[in-house]
Amino acid sequence: MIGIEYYLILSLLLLLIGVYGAITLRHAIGILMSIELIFNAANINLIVFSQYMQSMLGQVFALFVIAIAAAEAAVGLAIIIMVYRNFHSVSVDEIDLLKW
Amino acid sequence: MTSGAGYLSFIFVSLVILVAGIMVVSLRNLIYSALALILCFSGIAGLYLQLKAEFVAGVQVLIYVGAVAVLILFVIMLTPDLVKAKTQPELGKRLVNIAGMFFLFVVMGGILIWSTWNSGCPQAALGVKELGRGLFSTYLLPFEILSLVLLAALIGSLVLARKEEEK
Repeated sequence: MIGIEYYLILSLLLLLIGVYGAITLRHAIGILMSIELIFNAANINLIVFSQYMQSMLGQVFALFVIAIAAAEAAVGLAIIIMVYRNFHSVSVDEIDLLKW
Repeated sequence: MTSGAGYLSFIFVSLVILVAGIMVVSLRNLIYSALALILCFSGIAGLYLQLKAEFVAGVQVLIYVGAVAVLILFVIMLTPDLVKAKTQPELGKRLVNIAGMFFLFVVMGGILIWSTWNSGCPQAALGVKELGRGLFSTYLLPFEILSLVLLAALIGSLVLARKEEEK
């Protein structure tokens, strides 16, 4: 069986790709997609620990994370549509109403 | 499954996941990014299958590939100007961010490698049966609260995305 470290390194890499996208991309939907990558990296960790510890808790938690991520994506995309309707842009550089 | 074949399929699946993930954050066209995101989610479902978490793999395909990615594609295509919008900042900024991520990788990867993991082999796979029994007994309350959260998100996104009525 493959050692647990390999899975953890894989999820670490996926997490860092997601963080890179979230801080680099200038596009609201791109940021949302990067956040989905981060969620998935966390889920990989949960599943791996659940399988290696012979505990069901990790899988249950992964299912909860997936459901919350779906809710987050729905609300986030609705907010993006509303912002687009008001600003006619979704570039995070141009949406600076709360910046001073 | 022999160990060699296990390693080979793990390497293949992780290559798919990482390459697709890098494509998501580096492509200029958002639609291609969303398609790469679908590929990445499918690869992660394959990883769950390897880890003998079949139910979570199915849920991953249903919810991420079937719902979330399609929702993202819908929003990209509903807002035509988005496709042409500038997504990537200038090269210098990207290089700084990549360097920062590399630093984080060295630190966190070092911690991962040097810590000792009690990685005994997973013997008996946890079946769907135990998972379902747990969801409806021990974790019943969080499960029900989660349905409430989903309902709130559904109503909230409907209210947010609805067009304002003329007054």
